[in-house]
Amino acid sequence: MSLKRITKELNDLGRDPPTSCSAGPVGDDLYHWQASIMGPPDSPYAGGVFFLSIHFPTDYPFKPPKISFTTKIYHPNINANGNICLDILKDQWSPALTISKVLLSICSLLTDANPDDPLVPEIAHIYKTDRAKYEATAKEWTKKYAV
Amino acid sequence: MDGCPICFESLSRGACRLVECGHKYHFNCIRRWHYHSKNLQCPTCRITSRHLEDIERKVTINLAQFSDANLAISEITAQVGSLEIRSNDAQQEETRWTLEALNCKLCGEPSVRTNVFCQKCHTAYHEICLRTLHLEVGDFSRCVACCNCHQIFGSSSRELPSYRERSTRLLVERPGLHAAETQTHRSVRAPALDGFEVVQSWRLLSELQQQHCLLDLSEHKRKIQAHVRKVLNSHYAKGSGAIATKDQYTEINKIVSRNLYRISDNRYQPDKFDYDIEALRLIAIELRKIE
Repeated sequence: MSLKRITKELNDLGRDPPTSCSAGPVGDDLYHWQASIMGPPDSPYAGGVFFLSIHFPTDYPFKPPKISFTTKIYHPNINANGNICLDILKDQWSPALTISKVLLSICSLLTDANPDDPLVPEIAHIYKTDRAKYEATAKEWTKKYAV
Repeated sequence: MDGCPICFESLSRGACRLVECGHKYHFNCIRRWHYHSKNLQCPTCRITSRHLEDIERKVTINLAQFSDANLAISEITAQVGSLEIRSNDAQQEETRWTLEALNCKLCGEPSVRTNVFCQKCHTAYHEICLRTLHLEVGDFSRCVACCNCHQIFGSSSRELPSYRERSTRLLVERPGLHAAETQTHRSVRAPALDGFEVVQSWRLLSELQQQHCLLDLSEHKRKIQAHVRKVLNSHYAKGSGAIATKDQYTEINKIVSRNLYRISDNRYQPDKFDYDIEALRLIAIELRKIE
């Protein structure tokens, strides 16, 4: 089932591409995709383009896809390896979700971080105590790695 | 029609509906998800649905009792998924009925691999339990009937579904409903039944039920077998050499026990029979065969 479903998602993305995101297979392997997200305009990531790698498990959509940032990003819920702390990629996964919806969720995570469930506690601490410093660092990283 | 939110394929075939929230999925898709998710939440709205309605077949399955047993759910669905139930009668088109319990009537185990289902009285069995019981009550192995309502399922092993087929066949017609044009249906229409065996097995089962001993049959059997084991154990322990292997022990135990069931009409009647002496006698016969 997984291959059929992945193919359908790919066709849907082609037919009705979401704004600010894109995604597609890296090579011939439909289970390995690359995606890109434009930094949301109302966030310190504005102007950056962030790349992500997507690996579909063979029992997709019953198991969530593995998604990680390949572009460095300064965010309380994304660590140095690009791993993302997002509930819908873990225990809140639902087979009714699609790559398109997940990418949109990641976009909103960039706009609204969740410092109460951090993957990088240091960044979360700064986010909570000194928002200006957080935004400045995030902007700097965006300029350095994502532009 | 929108597609299934899980596989994105058309819902024109095999669609079912979570009763509580109304979201539609393919039967197999939603059940596979239940198995993975270990809960009964709808993938679309996350509302917990305890009932699943097969839209085509108008069968509602109560999932509530299986909420702890997702493995069981996925096992039954593999089987319930192949139930072919249609309303024969236009007036009954709206008839809806619910499969409440699918655990094996005989062993009581939750529904893992119950693969025989009586459509008349909605009773599920493991084929192995049904066949074992039938063997034990009288050694008629070709004809199997529902222990609850006595409907005959089929006449030969070909007509009971095997595990490999992974399907529950409805082998008995329910008034107003009929099995669809499947192999099942043909087996109901034109069974290669040995008439005598049907009558015999039916008679025996009816008698057993009249005596109210069907349910406690295993209790009677257990008591009779205890005598056989006692005698056999003394032979085995002595190391007399007569019973050399565990297999021989099992074989003799089986033959002698069955003979005793038959002799005592499947009831433990210690006032009428001295089971120890009978067992000793029958075991001696079997031992002579070995020698």
